[in-house]
Amino acid sequence: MIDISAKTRILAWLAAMPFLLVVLMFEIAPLLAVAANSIQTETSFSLSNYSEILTSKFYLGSFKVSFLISIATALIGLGIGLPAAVLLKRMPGRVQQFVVICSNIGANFTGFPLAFSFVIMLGVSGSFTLLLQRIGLLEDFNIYSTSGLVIAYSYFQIQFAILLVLPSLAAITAEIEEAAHLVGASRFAFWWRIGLPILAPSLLGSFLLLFANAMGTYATAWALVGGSANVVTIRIGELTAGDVFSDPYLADALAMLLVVSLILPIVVEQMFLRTKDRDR
Amino acid sequence: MSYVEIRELTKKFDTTTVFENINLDVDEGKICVLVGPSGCGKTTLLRAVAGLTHPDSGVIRLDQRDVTKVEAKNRGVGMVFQHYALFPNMTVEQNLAFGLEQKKLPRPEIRKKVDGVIELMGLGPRAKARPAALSGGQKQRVALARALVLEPKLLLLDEPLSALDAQIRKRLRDELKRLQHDVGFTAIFVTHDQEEALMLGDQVAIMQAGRFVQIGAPAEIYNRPANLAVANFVGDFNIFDPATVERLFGVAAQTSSWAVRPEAIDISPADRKASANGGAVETEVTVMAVQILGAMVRHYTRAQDVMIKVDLLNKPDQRLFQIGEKARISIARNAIAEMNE
Amino acid sequence: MHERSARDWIWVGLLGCLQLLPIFAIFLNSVAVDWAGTILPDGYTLAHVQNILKDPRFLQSIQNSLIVGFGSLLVTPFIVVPAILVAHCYFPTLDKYLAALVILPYAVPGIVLALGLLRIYSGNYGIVLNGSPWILIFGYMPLAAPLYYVPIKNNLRALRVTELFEAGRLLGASDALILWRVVLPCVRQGLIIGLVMNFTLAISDFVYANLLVGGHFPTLQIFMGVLNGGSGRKLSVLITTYFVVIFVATAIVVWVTSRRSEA
Repeated sequence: MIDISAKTRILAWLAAMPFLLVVLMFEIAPLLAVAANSIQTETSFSLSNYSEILTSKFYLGSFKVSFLISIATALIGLGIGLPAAVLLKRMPGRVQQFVVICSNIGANFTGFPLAFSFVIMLGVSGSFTLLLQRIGLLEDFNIYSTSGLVIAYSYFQIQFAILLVLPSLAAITAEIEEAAHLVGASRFAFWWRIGLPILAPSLLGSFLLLFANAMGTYATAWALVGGSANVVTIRIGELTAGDVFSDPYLADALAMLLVVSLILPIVVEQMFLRTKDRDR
Repeated sequence: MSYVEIRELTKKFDTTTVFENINLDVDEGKICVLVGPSGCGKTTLLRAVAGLTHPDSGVIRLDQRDVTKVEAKNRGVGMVFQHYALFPNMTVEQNLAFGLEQKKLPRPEIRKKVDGVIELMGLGPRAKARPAALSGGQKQRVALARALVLEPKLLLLDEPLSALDAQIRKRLRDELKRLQHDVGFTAIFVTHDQEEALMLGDQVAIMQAGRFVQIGAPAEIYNRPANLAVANFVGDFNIFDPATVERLFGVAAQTSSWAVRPEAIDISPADRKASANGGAVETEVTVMAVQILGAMVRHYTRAQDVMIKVDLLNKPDQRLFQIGEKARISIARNAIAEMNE
Repeated sequence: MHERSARDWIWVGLLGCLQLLPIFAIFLNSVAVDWAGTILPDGYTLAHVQNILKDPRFLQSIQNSLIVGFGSLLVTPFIVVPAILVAHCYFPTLDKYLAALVILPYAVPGIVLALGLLRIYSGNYGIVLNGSPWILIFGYMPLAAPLYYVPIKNNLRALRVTELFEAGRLLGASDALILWRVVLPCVRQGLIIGLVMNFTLAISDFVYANLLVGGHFPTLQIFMGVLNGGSGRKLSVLITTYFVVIFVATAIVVWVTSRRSEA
């Protein structure tokens, strides 16, 4: 580590201070506010918000739907994103760069633009709906449904997966691949026995981030299905901004449960990785 | 008074002592090489002289001036780093001009000095290139030029050749020697390579576990290592402990070990009586293996249960010994370095 | 490494098409005369474009989005980048915390943070930011931090910062000068990627805009919500406009990064 004088040290801290302040005010404090609110009602401190959620079929159902959509789209994301990333790694740098930039936009392509484009393509009179119906592959499809959400989420999940997986592929060098082929491994055998085990930890990490990404998606669900979608984020939004159902304390409790359901797997994964490192 | 004086210098990191109360003198216009195994404290000492790390106690004097508390930039020292530390966003010329700009020299003078050092180092064709486009050897030449262009009182080199491959390393080493002859700078050079140390240094300081075990001219270090550790470090001596000496050569009442360089041992066919010159010791050996090292031919021989390395000059008419052949070795008394642990 | 085959190119082409398909669909819809019950539109026209240009809400929302986008760019990098640089150069412990903060926006969804911001900055604690673009500009900052952190950190890892400072000190330069003249130019590429991603984030967000500002300061995304449910022609034009803006921002990245690789 470099030796620094007291003066330099103070200046350096001063340079970092504004950002730390912003993080405190606009990231940590809001989280704490939500946590504090979640154990309150209009009149007193209590855990009644949590007990209400955990005994409500409606709210538990919204978690279930969110979980299912998130697991499904995270798997779809990895299932297509991983081979796509492997393919991309073989491409010249410029093509790679171009697709990465497209994926960057695609991963941010959420909310109304995404929802509306899928309505155009797969809505009741969408061009793909009509095309598939004419070929006879599709009879009836409702984009304003849970399966519609899965398809729409998959769009940004796949691109997010490409972005997450591509850097970790650096661990699979051409040398490893060639060495495996020289001892007679087929492409399938290589990926099954060597490639995937090497990538497993980072794939797990990517899966959790994809899962969290889908769990937290609000704009796309809102834009596509509106209040009738029973996913957690919509319920939170409704309790916050809705005219009929407004109950901010309940919203905060729901939000806390959402955060816990996202952070818990990540923390467990980190601990798991750490013990594995120690075993080595 | 010496040009560079280090007196009773001590440096600790937390609880571990890097070095304690060490002393070193370097004369003007000379290269002093600090050599030792990694972790012996040589780099930390160099950085203390540079002002990049602060010693806990002791004094560093440079050209009669106490610089112990002086900031790095005001010490008038230049440094060459193992990994070059060139500014990647600047061209070769801009890298060379950077230090001069900090001195607020007028433009034309900077231009003149930069051109001069580019000429000196033969960097002309690469003057407009960025570091990423240079080879390792070229990068290190730029780094050297960047330090020299400021005409430092003292040049510090921290393993500057270690990151380069063997060929380039040899070439740059020769170039450095030539440059020092032409320009006449004073330098402290850190390395872990004993060959580099002996070849470059006017003075070689061998450092082990935070202290100097021997300081001297290369020839002195090579021929008269101060102890077994130095002997092992500077070359592959044959080491005979007192008991072995008595057993092989019949010389009794020894308390210290003998260290003998492989090329200082004479070997002759077993049937020929060795020339009995002034009290040389002799013993019978069997040749176990023969290796061509280039200019030398190494014979691994065995006397009773002791392996002895013997080097012969690889001359066209040199008779090489066969594996399994009996032979006789003799060691002149003045080729023996007696030493304790 | 495998040789690239024609089949690989076909797959990459297919991937690219899928990525662009939704965008193409919206563009087609924005210039369609009528598109209902057919696979492709019946004809093409710019009438919708002219139509929406007459709507004052359209220009207002674009203006508001640009205010938020550029406002964010004018504040965020000056707060985020110094922290990233000094943490990398001087404070490895702080750097570890920054690395953890980087995943936080993924683990804590925007809607949760938005709830918290709603609670804090509505006046309960003496600060009212909600309803003004300021809450967006500051609220996006922690979300944008990873967008700067990741690419800049990639650039920094390729540098031996400590040695550069030391070399600089011996050449008579202060650390600040080395940061300015050497380190910052070396992370230029990461910085620009960060800027563009920051801008994209600021004009793409719906959650914060909807919950914290809403009708007080309607951005592009809010206006899209207003138009949602209608014929969709106006919405298509709006979304296409949004894409043009993103495209320009992206073109800058491509231009800058490819220029760098030629150097």
